[in-house]
Amino acid sequence: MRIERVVARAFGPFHGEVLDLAPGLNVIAGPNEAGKSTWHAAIRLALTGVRRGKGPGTAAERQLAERHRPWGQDDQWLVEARITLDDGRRIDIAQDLAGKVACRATDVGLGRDVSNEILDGTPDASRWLGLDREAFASTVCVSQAQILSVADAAEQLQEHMQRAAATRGTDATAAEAIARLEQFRRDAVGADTVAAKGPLRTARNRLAAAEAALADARARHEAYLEQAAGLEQAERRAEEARRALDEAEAALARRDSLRIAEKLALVEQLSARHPRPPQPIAELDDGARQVARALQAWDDRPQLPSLAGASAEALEAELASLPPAPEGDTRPHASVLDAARGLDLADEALRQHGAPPESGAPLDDSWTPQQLRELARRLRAPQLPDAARLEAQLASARAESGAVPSRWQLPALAAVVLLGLGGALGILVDPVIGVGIAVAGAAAAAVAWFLGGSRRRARARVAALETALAPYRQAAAAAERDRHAAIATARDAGLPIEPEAVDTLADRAASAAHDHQLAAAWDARHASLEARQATARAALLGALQERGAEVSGLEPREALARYVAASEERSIQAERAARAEGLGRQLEARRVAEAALGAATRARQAADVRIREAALIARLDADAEPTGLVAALRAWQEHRSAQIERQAGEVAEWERLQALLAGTSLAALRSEAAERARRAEELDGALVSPAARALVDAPGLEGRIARLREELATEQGAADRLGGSLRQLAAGLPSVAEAEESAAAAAAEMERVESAAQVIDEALGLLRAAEEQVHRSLAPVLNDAVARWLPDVCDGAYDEVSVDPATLGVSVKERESGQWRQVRLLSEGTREQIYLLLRVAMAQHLVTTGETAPLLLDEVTAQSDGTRKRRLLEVLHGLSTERQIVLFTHDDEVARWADASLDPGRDRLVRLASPWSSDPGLLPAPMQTVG
Amino acid sequence: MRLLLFADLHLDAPFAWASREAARRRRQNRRQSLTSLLALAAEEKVDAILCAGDLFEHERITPDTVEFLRASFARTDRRIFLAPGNHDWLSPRSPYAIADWSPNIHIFTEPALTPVPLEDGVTLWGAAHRAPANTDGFFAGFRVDRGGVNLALAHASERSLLGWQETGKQPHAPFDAAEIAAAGLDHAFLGHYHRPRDAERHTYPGNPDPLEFGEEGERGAVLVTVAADGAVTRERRNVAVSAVHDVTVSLSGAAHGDDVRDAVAAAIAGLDGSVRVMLEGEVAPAVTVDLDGLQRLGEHLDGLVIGTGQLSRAHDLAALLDEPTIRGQFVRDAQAIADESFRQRVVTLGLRALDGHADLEVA
Repeated sequence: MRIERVVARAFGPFHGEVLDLAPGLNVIAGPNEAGKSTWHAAIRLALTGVRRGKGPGTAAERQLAERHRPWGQDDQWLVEARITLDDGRRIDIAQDLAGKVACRATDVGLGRDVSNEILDGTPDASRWLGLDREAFASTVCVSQAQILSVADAAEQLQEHMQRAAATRGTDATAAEAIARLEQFRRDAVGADTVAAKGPLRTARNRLAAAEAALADARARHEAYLEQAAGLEQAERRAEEARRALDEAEAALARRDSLRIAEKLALVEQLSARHPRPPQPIAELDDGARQVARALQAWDDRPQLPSLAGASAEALEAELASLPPAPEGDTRPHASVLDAARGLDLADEALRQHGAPPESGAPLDDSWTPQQLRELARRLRAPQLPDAARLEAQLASARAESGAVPSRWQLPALAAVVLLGLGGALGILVDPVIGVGIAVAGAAAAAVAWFLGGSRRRARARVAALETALAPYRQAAAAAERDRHAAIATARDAGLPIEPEAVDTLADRAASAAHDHQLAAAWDARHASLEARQATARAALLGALQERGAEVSGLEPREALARYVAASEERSIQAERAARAEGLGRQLEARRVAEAALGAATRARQAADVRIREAALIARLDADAEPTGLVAALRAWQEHRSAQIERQAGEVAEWERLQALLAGTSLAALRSEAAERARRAEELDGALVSPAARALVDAPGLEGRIARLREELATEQGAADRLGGSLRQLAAGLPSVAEAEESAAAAAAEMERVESAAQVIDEALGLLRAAEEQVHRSLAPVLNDAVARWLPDVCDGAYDEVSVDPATLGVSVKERESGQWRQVRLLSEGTREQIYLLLRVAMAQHLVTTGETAPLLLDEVTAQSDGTRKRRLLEVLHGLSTERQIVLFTHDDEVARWADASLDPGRDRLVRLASPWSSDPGLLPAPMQTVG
Repeated sequence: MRLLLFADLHLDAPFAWASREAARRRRQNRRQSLTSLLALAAEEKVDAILCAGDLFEHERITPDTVEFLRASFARTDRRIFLAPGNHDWLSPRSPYAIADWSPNIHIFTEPALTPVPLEDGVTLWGAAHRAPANTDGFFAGFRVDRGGVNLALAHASERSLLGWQETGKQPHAPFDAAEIAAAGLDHAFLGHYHRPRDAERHTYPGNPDPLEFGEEGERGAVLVTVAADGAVTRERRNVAVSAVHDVTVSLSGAAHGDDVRDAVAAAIAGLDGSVRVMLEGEVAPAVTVDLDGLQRLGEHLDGLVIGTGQLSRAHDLAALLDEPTIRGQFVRDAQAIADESFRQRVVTLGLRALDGHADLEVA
């Protein structure tokens, strides 16, 4: 797409002004207020028009209108343009920016309205580029501010690319959108950890609480219904108890009514029979009772008993003559008998011990048999048989030693001589002779040695024997000394010195000692038996004394004899005294019998008196014979009994009547009977069942009523308690419906938050994936675009470019060092130029129709120095061979460069005049063009 | 003979869509409906009042509601016949069993039709649900054992109406319409279906006070006159004290949030009771639909429910799909999402994020 001409029919300060543009680089130069911005806006609005819609429009639209509506002509805001599309079609576009009605796009060649091809409310030529109004502005237009931002902040270049990649530069970058979504997720969803407080966790907690509350409400509601049912059952049981009680009470009332009716009938009958109280029978009865008692006494009078045997007086005399019962044993006590037997045994044992043995010769106790035998032993000569044998051997040895001659001296002498001679001859005469003589000498020496040895051996034996005999000889000497001492001792003691005599004395002493031992044993046994006897005697005396016998000064056996004799005497006395008991009983019986006889006699006399008294009561002859009186009294009594019986019947009926009335009157009884009947009638409704009616005659009805009352109280109490508990439960019972509503609301909120989380997560995922994919596809496009122009832009300093697909960050490789440098670290001018290259590439990339997008650049060289400016302009000039570029500038240096460098065949320089300029060449038309 | 029939009052039913206050008002409205109904019965001097089940909800009924029912029924001198339904099914713990009902109340307690004489020659057969589900039909195989006029009162589902009635209805105690005549019944007074229905031999009065949005038909209490030959004439009387309204509001062309607010406010102005507003149409991506703000517009109502299921955002999807940008790629990738509603929400959210909107809440 190329813009051939723009006509500002009514646009800002312009009215019919025309701006013609070349297909290459167009430089629109002019000072401030010369209309550059107006033409920039006119070009853009001529192509895209404005949005057609209700309402005041967006803020940007309102601002645009305020700036560029024709001054003073609000109703007309018109701009036109002619463009040439890449397919060769020439299109005239007219935009009615105010009314948005007279807008159209016309194919110049065909004269046909082609508005529909690009209609978006109004014709929008950016549609031929696949853009919309906003995207056209952000894609095709490059403002001074954008260049400045790239120059001032290195990272802006990358952000511009990201924004363009994301939304064609109209809105946020993908990173911003993702950050916004992430923040939105934090705000609208939040984490789902226990400690989190975001909406999701809050909703989850709320849902859990609501579900718990719902479960609680349902459980309590269930408990309420359960308890209510329990109450209903309890009340039913109470009702049943009440009904049973009513039945029982009705039955009782019925029965009471019947009974009182019966009673009333009886009372009425008795009252009729006894209108007045009957005559008392007490008087009649008293006489009859006296007669009856007299007859009874007559009948009961005792018979007179008969008495036989000794009188009481005689028995008393006999009893007085009897001795008293003796004191003490009437026969020997067992303890005394045992003690007497013990004494008998002790005496017998002593008797059997016999006479003492005879004693031997008197014992000389100065020498014991052992001492005498020791003395005899010492008096004997010592016996040393070994010593005698050794003495014999010694004598023999001495004899042998004395028999051996001393013959060894000669041979010894001869040996000496021969040896000396032999030596001398050997030396002096002839050795052989000398040796022969010496040998002879040696032989002589040997003989001398042999002879000397025999003598020495005999002497040695003698010495040995002497040695062996030495202890024997010492012992013999000691024994001999002891024997002499013993002899001296015996003599001193007057004892014989012959050992045999002493031995005899020793035997005698031993025999005497044995006799003395036997005598001592007999004595000891005898003493023991005597002690036993004494003990037995003492025991007998003690036993006797224990039984009260006199023992003082008596021998035991005498005392025993007296005790036995006394016992026998007491035995006889006791037999006599025993008769007293029988006589006593006999006396007592006699006395009773005699008293009974007296009493009987008196009773019979009294009966006789009472009969006569009764006769007086019965008006009979009291002096008559008693038996006849009794018969007459009996006849009288029978008559009187019949009379009393009749009277008693009347009294009994009267008393029954009074008992029935129980202190009330007949009228009161009638009233009560009527009341009972009414009460029975009133309760009669309860007696509907046969079982209830049967209760009337049932026994224990009062007890049944008591039990039923107790049962009713129990059941009613249980029902009351349940009712109270139920009322309490009901008072605090939560609404299940409300709990369900809360749970539903919580669930809905939970679903809403979870749904929001799903939507956000899905959007985030898609957005991240889209960012990655678009960046990955865009990176090589940008890479190629920059690489193509990089040597020109940086004057050969960098020869390769790399665009990071992840971030769209751009790096370039330094030619000399081969090192890669990020563009943001390069100079401002280089960044500006690379940015322009990227914008061109991005513009073409974002155009989806294949149409070539023009570029509208506004003061993009404003901040550049001369070198950078020229280099940038040259790049733009190069780019303009492929697409139309319109560069607005106030920079005269740019204008001069354009004047010198532009190709009049394809480029154009347009100079805008200042409103205050006096240059006629620039007036009145606001432009001057070249080319 | 004149009878007043009603059913499906559903006392103490929950209203999950409503706020707590609105739900309470709705429940209170139910009670007021019953009071109106009893007043109507007195005014019309009917011979008896018939309730064909679901008078209350067993699992939710409060002690206060039990007492309300007991006292309300005790105040009238009309005989009242109650046939427990699947929501107020009879059990030992049911209020039917535990409350101290006045003598004018007769509760059918058997799971089969049992007779009660209404007057000479007129018998009312009634049955009770004894469980919340799986109750067999009452009419199949049943046959009246006496002459005169035989009427029935039950909570039952006529099979042919299952598809026509509201969705989700379970066929409790199902029957075929022909079974009524076959049973020798002159007419059956029924509950369960909330949509009213007057058939030749049976009558569904419908719920007397609105339960849900979208309820159609003239519902309420039915004044029934029974002729000597068993023929009935029916006259519906409105006893509802609340109203529900369904309103659709198109937001197409709304330029901003105020347009949305004005449209909704206009739609619900003059309405009372509970209102369900369904938003529909396409709105520009930049237009804010503030649901909380819209909700506050219904403060004069018993309840306001706002649905956005028919609302969409006016993105130029065709242009976006061709756009060689991350935005375009995002929209293209999102087309793989099968769920249209979810896809729309994802696309709208992503585009609003890319457009730089601070408020990303998607209505």
